[in-house]
Amino acid sequence: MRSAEQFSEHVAVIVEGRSLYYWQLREIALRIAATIQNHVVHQKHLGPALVAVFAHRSATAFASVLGSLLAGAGYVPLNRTFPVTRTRLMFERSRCHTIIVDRESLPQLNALLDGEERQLLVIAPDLKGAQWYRRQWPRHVFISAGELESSAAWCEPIENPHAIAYLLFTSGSTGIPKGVMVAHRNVTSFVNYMIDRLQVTERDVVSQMFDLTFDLSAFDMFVAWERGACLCCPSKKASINPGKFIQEQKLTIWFSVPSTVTLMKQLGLLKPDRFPSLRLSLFCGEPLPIGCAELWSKAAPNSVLENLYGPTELTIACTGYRWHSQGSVEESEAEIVPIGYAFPGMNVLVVDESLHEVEPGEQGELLMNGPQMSLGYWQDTERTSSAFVVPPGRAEIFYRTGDRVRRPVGDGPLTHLGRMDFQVKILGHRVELGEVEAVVRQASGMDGVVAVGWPVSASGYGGIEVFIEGGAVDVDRCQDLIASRLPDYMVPRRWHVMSRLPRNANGKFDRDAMLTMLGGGR
Amino acid sequence: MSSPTPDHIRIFVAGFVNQRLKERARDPINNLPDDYDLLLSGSLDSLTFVEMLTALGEHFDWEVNFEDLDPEKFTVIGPLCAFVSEQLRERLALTK
Repeated sequence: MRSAEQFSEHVAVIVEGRSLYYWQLREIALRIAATIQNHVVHQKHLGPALVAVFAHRSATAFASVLGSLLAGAGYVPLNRTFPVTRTRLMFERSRCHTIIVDRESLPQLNALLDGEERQLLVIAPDLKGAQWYRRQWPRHVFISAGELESSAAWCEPIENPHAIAYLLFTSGSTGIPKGVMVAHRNVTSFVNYMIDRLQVTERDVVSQMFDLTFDLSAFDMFVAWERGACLCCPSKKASINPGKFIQEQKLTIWFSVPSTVTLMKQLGLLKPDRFPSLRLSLFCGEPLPIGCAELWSKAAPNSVLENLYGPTELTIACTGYRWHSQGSVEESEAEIVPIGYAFPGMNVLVVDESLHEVEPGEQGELLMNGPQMSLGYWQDTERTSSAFVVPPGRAEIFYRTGDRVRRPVGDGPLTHLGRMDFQVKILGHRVELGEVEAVVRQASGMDGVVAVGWPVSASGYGGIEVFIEGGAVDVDRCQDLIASRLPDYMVPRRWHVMSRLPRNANGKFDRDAMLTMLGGGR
Repeated sequence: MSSPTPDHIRIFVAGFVNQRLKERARDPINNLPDDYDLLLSGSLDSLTFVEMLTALGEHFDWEVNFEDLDPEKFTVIGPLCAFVSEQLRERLALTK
């Protein structure tokens, strides 16, 4: 809000090919906020505690996030590119009574409202008239574009740092999405540190590659807007060629998952000196192969490159590593860039199975706590208490990340070694799939490598199969190379070379889809 | 040997698109008019579109230069087929 006044004539976001100035974004957001507030006060409606934002890559999407927060509510992002049954499940679980829908998500609204027993406030800022919907769904209140309150009616809500800023559903291993409750104080702590660390200014042009349902989008919005920078959202067409997008928009800050780099590399878009406008390149969400970091550094010669790490439960990112052309390769392990050092105030504990700290140099599960530790899972005390634990001999709660890291020796960086649950038993041997992937990555020269245990056997798995993204891979040569470096049971039995590996909604490699291709899957 | 005509390319693209539609349990498209936009029509998303180009490259032994790719034109069936066909014809002329 301060930014909106200070930078009112600057562009806040470019979306759908249109530039929205800070004053414009503020105006729409305030009208939405005032509408929510008015409804709550006058209709004695339940809560504004949470507002669902059913919008995707539109001006309304961004204004709705801000509008919800300005109304004193947390936002729950919903995504029309997800199957509508999943969206429904999230919407029902969130127990929101207010939903904001953008133009392109409207066609799914009927499916969402069908059989809905709550009385809802439906705000459709892109809808000309809501008569049809009112007739169709008399139970709910509909507000169309012309019926939004004026921004003057908005009252500043009382700040509560412990209230939920956003509720984000992540996939649970049981198939039922878990809602992570991230508080205002978590986000504030993260954003304040990041704008300082990255020295973001109003001259920055920041990429917006993440859907709202991926928490890394919170970095894009709040870090950029806190300092008056411009957020740049690629159109559907521009997203085909991220290289052209960076060049044409003269982006200064790039933030994506490493899979995007793998894809760009494969498409031949990462030639030296292609992206001189970038001053900062950030990667998060999955392991960053050193090959990608090296190539990207050459393509963006003026850019600092950072690998960030953080589960949704620890608010966006909580450790970071700055890549250096010298020294970083030595500090990396298993061909993966280190995740680096904990952000200020965040504490690290690397533990064994009994949650006791391991010795420096040993590996174990990463536990963290600090100002970015979220409130836990929405209406799920059971899963909250199994992931947020007090380790023996400690007095504080830590979050169990499920990530396997090596405890640094001295002041070295943390290195990420894989997921705890990617440790599988093959014919009685304990195998780290990450290790197999690292060796295959080296042997094949390809970055997009996923190893899976297959087929399922009584004691674990019968063997390992590997998926590689890329064109020409000399499988026989790789197989020989690997057989000389790994014990038999770790050598992949079958190789699946594909032009593109399946990815999930967040652009990460989708292991379940690969297992399904083998005839299994969860 | 003659190089593939725009219609050859179109047949390949249609086959690819229909395969994707089938995987998502959607109805196939019978004809692809020149102004059909593969992306905006929702037939392909940005990743499957790239995949389609890669497959096209492999099938016709065409080296795809993604760097020069103009997303505004490339997703529309007419210009896409004309462009690919033209590139293949030029290359054939060069190698002769």
